[in-house]
Amino acid sequence: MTGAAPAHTSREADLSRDAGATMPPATPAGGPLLRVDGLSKQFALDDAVLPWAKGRRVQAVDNVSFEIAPGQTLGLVGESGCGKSTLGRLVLRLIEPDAGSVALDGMAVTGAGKRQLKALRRRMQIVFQNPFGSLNARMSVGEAIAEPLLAFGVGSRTERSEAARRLLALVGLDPGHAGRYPHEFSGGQRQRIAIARAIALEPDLVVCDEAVSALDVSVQAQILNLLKDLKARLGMAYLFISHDLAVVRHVSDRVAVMYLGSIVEIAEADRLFADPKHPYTVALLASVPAETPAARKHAAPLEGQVPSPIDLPPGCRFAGRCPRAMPRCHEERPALRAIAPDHKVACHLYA
Amino acid sequence: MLLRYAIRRLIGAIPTLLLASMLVFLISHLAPGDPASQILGSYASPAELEQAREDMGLNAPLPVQYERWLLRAATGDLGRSINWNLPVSEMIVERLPRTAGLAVLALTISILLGVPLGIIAGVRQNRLSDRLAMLVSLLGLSVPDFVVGLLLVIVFTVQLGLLPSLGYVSFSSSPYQWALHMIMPAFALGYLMTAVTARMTRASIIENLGQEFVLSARAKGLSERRVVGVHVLKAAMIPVVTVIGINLGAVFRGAVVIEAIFAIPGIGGLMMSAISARDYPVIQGCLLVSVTIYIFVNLAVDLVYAVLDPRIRYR
Repeated sequence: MTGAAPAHTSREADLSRDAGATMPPATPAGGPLLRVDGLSKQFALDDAVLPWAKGRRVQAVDNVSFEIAPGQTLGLVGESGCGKSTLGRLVLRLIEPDAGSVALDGMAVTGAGKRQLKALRRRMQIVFQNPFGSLNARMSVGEAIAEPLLAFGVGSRTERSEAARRLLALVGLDPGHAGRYPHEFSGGQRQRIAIARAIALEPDLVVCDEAVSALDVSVQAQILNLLKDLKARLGMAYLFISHDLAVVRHVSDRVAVMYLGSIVEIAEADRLFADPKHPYTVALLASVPAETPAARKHAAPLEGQVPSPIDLPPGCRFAGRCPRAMPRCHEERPALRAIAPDHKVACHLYA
Repeated sequence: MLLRYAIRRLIGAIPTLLLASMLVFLISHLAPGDPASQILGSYASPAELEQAREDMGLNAPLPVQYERWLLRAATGDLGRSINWNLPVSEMIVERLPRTAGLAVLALTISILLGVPLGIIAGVRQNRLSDRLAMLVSLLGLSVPDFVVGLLLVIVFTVQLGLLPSLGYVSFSSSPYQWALHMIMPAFALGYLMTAVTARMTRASIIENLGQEFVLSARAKGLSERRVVGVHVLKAAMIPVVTVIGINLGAVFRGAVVIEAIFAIPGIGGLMMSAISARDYPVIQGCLLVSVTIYIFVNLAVDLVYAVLDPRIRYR
């Protein structure tokens, strides 16, 4: 992508350190960067109009646990409505969880006070799906990129606008366009701006919530390569949320598969794609269009509907659609268990 | 860029003004009633009436009358009042500052109260402060301004004896006395606008709080104060500015009643007496002036949009 940025103390140090090297650990060796434990979130579906009526609720995220190591990318896949985005927002505490905990580098995100949370915000950022909605239309892109720096009092005014220009160059845009407004850019360019904004504070973790889904394929490839490139340079970890398996495979070190608010399988990326265990993962992978007719997999397509998250069936949530369901699956919910090092599945077949 | 647009819009306002002047002229001329008989009384002979009509130019065809009136109006000559026998432009120039003062004060009150009220209500949606703010504004919408005016007089003049109940002191002779006399009429007039402004601000704040860029702003680690004060507020202001521009029309309408209650010798009172006297030149003059002001205020509103939203590009 672009060359190393001009003189600036901390970022320059980062860039030179990472040039061509593999990911450096951003945190003290040992513990995971992000630890998510038993995270749950319900949404009230409708306000109860009458005081005695009970509003229906949707279980968006249900008891989710995972970890991300420093500099690692965890891909999070699942069909739309499975709770991926909610999970991403819970991790950053943009919405409050009902239960469970999130810790960044050993510091609790859930339950953190205002000041602690602000300090943590500096280390974790997000890129949203829709680059048309996530940028404030009334702010020049230079201001938008520099604003996180302003929020944390980094540098003087001129240093910040200089940093914004450097970040624009880093994501492959013309630094001279810092004074322009979001509507003057294309979708792909806006997503680059959103990324520049997210990495302005050199965070340890960036949540990419369907960050490339709104873009056409050629632009997708550019953005994905940009994200990989930035990771190599700055040593960031990603929680990469997407419904697109090809994209997830391209960027992820590990992959978690989500179904109806729960993780059903989590494994090292190559392993998951080569040897999926959970019947849902198998079906999901089989649904990817093959590159050649010869390579077409003849797995039976999934039948039935995703059950309503308002009225969940007992037992395994996938049981109603699972080609290998057993009587037990309809009664007892399988727990997420390790079947190999760094490979966990929530399925009775592997119990 | 903005200046060029402003000039273009000013030129573009000319057809609007012409059309408005035509309507103003027609409305008062098509209405039943005849100023000649109004002046001479019911005992005048038909010959005398005919002579008076001829003298006043009322016998010429309407387009001719319109042309004469318009050409004179363009030079600032709005004719002579039939009833008071004074130049209409002089009468308006004397009274306009009083109504303008009242209008500006009422509008200022509505912005200073309505916008903060709307912000608090929007940010604290469905909480007690929201409910209170919306109750206050619902009252403003449903209670007529003259009732508010009379209630104010009962409380502040009759009960507390703090404020004069009526009359007018010019700003130049005593700003303090002016304010003392204006505060109640301005509040009575501004209450409805406060309510409209507050409700529009609230709705706009709530809508913008749900936008994704607000989530990005929070994720950046900005304080909630900056998220609302900078990101949300600027976006939320466009419909509010529109409403404030429209409110100015309400000021001129409301001034008719409020000036009568508080005995302020302004344009509203003049218009009312002119209508009952069928004093065409005065009616036309007052309408023309208020329409012109209204058109220019809304032009200013359009220019403010461009400042608030860079996506609005004028050419």
